[in-house]
Amino acid sequence: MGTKRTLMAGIALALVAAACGGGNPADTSPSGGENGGGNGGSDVQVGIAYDVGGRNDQSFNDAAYRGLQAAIDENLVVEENTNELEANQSGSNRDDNVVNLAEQGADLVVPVGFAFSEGIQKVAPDFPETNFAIVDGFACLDKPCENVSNLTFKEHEGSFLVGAAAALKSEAGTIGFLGGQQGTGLIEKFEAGYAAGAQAVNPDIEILVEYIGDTTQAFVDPTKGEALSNSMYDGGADIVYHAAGLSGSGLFKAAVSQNKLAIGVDSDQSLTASPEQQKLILTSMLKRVDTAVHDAIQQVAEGSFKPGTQVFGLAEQGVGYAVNEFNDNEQLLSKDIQKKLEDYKKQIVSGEIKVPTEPEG
Amino acid sequence: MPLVDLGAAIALGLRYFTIIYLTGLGGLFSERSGIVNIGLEGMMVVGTVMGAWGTIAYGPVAGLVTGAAAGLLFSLVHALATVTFKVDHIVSGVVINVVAIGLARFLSQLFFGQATQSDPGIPDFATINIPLLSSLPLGLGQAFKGMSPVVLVAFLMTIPALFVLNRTRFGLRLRSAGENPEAASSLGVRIWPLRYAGVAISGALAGLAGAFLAIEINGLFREGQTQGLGFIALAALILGNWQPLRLMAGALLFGIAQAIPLRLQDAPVISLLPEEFIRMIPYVITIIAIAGFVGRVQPPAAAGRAYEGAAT
Amino acid sequence: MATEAATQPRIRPEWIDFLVAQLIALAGAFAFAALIGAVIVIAYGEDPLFVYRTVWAFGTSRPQDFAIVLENATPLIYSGLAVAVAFKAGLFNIGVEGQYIVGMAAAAAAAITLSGLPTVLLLPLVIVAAMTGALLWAAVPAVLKVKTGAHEVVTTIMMNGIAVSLVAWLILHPLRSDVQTTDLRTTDFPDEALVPNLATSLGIEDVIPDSIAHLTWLFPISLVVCFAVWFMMFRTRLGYEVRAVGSSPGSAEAGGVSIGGTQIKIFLISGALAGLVGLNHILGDTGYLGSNYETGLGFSGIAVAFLGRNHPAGIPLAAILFGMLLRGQDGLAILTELPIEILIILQGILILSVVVAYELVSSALARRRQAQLGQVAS
Repeated sequence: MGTKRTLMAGIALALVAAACGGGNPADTSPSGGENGGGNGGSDVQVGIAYDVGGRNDQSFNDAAYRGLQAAIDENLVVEENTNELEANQSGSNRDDNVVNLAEQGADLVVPVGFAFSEGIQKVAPDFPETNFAIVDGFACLDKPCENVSNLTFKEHEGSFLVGAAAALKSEAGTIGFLGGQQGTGLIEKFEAGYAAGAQAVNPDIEILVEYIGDTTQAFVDPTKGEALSNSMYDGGADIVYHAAGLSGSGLFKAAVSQNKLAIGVDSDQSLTASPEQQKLILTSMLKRVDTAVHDAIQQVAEGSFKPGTQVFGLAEQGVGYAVNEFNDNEQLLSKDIQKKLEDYKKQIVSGEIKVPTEPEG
Repeated sequence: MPLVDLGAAIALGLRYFTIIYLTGLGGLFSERSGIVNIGLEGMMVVGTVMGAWGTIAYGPVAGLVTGAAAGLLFSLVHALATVTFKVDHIVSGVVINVVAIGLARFLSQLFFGQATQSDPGIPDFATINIPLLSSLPLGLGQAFKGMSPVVLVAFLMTIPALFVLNRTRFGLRLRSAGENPEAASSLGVRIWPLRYAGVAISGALAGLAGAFLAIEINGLFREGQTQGLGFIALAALILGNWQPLRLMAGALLFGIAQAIPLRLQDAPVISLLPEEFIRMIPYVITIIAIAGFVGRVQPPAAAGRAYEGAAT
Repeated sequence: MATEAATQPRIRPEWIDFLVAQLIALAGAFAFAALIGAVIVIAYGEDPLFVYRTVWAFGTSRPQDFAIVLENATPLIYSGLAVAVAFKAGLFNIGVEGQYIVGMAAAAAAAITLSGLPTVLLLPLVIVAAMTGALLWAAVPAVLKVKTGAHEVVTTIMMNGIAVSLVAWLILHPLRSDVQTTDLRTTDFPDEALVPNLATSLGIEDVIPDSIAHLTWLFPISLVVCFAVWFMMFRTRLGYEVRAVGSSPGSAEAGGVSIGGTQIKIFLISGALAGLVGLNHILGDTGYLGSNYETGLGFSGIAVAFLGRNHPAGIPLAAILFGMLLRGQDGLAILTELPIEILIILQGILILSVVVAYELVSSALARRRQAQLGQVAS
């Protein structure tokens, strides 16, 4: 079945190519076509399917893109053999994008986001030649699929560290958490780790918690992100941590207008912030989606794709906190704080501290 | 500071007021000239994407200018269709809105390398605190702190708008084109340039409002960010009986309604509702206002009617 | 419009003139849009012919490609019809968007609560539920329009905003799946509520695999609905009244037609048609209603209706063209460096030029007929 379909895709492409004749500049455009499943180095075809928010979210999707870039830089894959498709505003074409990439003969499709999981579970058996590595995925948990792997992260461990950093830095004794979408259990992991880290430093600390909404639109609503951040700052918090995707850009705006501190998420957000924001970003909780995506491409290039669930925690360097030229100083993340965070890190890796994945109460 | 949330909500509401009021003023000029403009939303959409581009490239002042200019250019399509080709005003307006969605995606792809949004956190204006008012007690002063200077500009726009409309020859002729083009024409007034001007003003102001939304409220261009504000401006215009001062009152009402789901979701009574129902509040208020007031207002007599030219 | 001209003396049958004029306008608009599109593509340094061929190839190379085109067209046919019937009465149903998502939620509620019934009962009930939900959603602006004069363009847009939140709440709370997943969606519908796949029913699923194209019986049904709408519009009293109200409310009222009553009736019918828009998505594809349902089908329906001249014969053709451009976006995304938005711009230019071209041609036609009539009379 799958071979036949790949073949037919090849025919479609051949038709197009024939129709446009030789010597056309468009011939050099990336095309899938017949690949025969040979997974040797630069022949590898990789497709990335971004989620709502897309490239330029300076967060999650961008991190996946960096992983792809790293793989290209290392010649694991040739740029011409890569394809990136974006989800539309509502995300209704997630499955279509994945099918299109697989149909074009991709050896690896990387859907960026948990929301792809159910769709992948359905279509993966139809494309046995294609491997799927879902960032934050939860597909095929009941019975593993041979060509699907879930790239998951221990966000609670990374959040523990930035929670501890917040508590060490806070002068008010009140800190805030801005969540994106409530009710899926995913963002709650960030919240739980953050609170546990803060309480490990200061058991009496007050933690204000706001979620932007109940749907995936909560990740793309900077205005409400800003309003809720302002509300937490007005309520006494002097540091707010967000796990809200694009909506988090509202937090940084609020931080500047109130001259309070903020903590970024997923990528090192100091690097993409404006100069006035950089002075106020204490650190960012790093979720190394780039590493995970890079590793998945490497596996496929080397013919060693691992199906099942792969977990990236502190021990695997899959999560962490950001130290950069902007925060590595006494005003923000002092040496003293960094030293304490490294201690906590060791204790988590060794299992001495168990970080909860669900908020209390 | 028990009322700090209310104060903050009013501050946010004033920003939304700015969008609704500016767009409504634009609609006022268009409709007083006789061209119904339900394409305001689409013109605003074009203003968001071009405003974000101008801001990223040259700063927020330039962003407002590029947004307004883009809105103006786009509105000329509506003028061409309705004035020159005599296409039904609502048909053309609907098409303007549909086309704007695609145009914005295209421009976003062109300028930001991504169809649905720009980089977040684009540069914005330095904020101002209004003297005296910003020190109101109980947290109400919050309403007048950190205000965007454009909000003040929007309030001040009332003066030139009233002056041009009521005290200049252009304003008089514009209104005559919307009330009785045949009579105006028989007095030697050329109708089509007036209507082009009316539509162009509406496009510029809606584009300006869109740029303001991208720069000062959302901090980015994002597909779908206008969320019907252009239509709410239209509602404010109807509520305001096509008069600037009453329009301002309507825009204040609808603007503050916009802030409820953003900042007053924990306020008494409102907090009893699920989040999704709180988000409906601005739309419900608009419907009720429109349904309650529309019978008592008087649109420009010739609005929506093609002017067939000087032929008897 | 032009149809009202010329009643008695005939030089050539009126409809031939009319048809020819429409075709000329259409051809002109297409040529204009294709030209502008070509300019944009060349500005990007690619070959416009290659782009148009890619779009064509992706929509037609294999049966399954064309099946995807028809799948894309199916909801647009319903949504174009919903817009068109209201338009015939001079009403602008910009609220198809909100009406169909409420319709999907109503269908989901019916499918889940009536689970256990056999297909012959359940499927019709689910479809009726979708139509009823959407109809009720359309009733609010319809009644407000007639009773208070509130313009339906403003009220329907507001109803769209309310619908989005309402359906989000329904999916998250009363209808939410009890299976713990991070996807926000309703429980799976029972199989009896699903619309069978066309290819599977016809035994050609190896030609058109159902994992690729979700072409269901809702497509052929949409053509039947087109015929039913045509029949209603041109062969029933209601259709006559609707057209009378739409073309000349004054004389319709003088002729004893209740404007308000007719407007409410046709707006409710428009709403009921809107209820069918989202069904292929949930009953033919996903099998549940997720929070990432398809949006924008109502607005595309407006474009389809205008392109199809608000006529039940034109709408399916316009919808298929849009379905092909939608499929073509996949092709451009995969085969070229061009932004797929070029095709969206192309749609916009096409709609604009079609609207203008029709206006030009029909006023030219009206002038010519008037001149001819003058000759005959003298």
